[in-house]
Amino acid sequence: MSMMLRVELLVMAIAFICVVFRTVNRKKLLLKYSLVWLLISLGLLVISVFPQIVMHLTELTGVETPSNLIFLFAIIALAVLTFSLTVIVSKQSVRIKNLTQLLSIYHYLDGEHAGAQAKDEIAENSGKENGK
Amino acid sequence: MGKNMPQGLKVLLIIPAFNEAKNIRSVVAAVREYAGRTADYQLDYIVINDGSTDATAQICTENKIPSIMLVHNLGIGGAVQTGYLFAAMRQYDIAVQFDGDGQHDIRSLDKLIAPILSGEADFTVGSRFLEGTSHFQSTRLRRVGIRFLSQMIRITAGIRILDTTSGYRAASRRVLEIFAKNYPEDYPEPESLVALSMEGVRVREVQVNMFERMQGVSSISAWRSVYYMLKVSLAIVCAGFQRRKSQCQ
Repeated sequence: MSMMLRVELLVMAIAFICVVFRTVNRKKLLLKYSLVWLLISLGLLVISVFPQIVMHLTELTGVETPSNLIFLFAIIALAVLTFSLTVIVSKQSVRIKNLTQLLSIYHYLDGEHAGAQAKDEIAENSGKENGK
Repeated sequence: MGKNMPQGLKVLLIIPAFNEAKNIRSVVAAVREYAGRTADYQLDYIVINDGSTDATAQICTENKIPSIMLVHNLGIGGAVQTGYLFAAMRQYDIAVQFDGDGQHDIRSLDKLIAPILSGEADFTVGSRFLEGTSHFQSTRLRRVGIRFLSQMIRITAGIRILDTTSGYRAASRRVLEIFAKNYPEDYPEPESLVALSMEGVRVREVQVNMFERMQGVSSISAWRSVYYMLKVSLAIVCAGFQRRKSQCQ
């Protein structure tokens, strides 16, 4: 790997780590979801410092060229990320549905309660009138 | 929940509880007894039932214990934040976190809130380690972990706290409003300290008494503690990169 490329990768990795930290500190990203991005940046950092790892793995896995290997890993990483996102979204959907249902039920019960109170007041007042 | 004192100071005890059916009655009984004796301030308490799957909810209703039943389990961070939100809405002057498992001694409450009442600090942490006179014992691993976190926080946030994982803490109105808006989810005790230092909040550690866990099992297993340790360390480092606001009166 050329020195130029390695420096570029190193700079990108460090820059991305800073972006992740900033986004977490601005409360736009939860720390537990930032972990995977930090892991990927770390991997990039390691590869830029030790590119021999990529060459070694290419031989080991029987992939034709190192770039193919990197693309493969990148695609796997993105697929895993997207899959876990759909799992997270599913859990959130269920929770939102639960909240919607409960809120609506409480609204109804509140309305019923208010309606019952109004009825009581009307009964009281009409009772007083009749008593006169 | 307490006598009505229009001019008086209002203190709220936030009691998070997850599956504490065995302990919650005695915990609340101790609090009620103590509340009956305090004259300097009005002591209220609210149990936050974090989606318990045992009889906790039933016991609270049967014994007329003021409690907020969370619709979903949110974890200790979310549950405690609910308490802070409630305190902010009801305009309490001081909010105190008090464990629902009986580990905290209510009799240490006056010591805990004294620095806030005197205006010395905005946030106090009840510590087991300050004077080494507590009955509390912990596993070796936990003690090493706690000391490690303490060092990390000292380096990144400049705050010297020995008992960083203590859940016995008191917050002034300013701090409880901060927490009502933002509070960490997992293992929030160390992270929240860093967040406070970034806001320029004065934090003080106070020696308090704690007991052994009465009944039931601690919610964190050995492996999960390792995961939490890493995550919290990362959170501390990350939060340390923020620009710190200077301490103000």
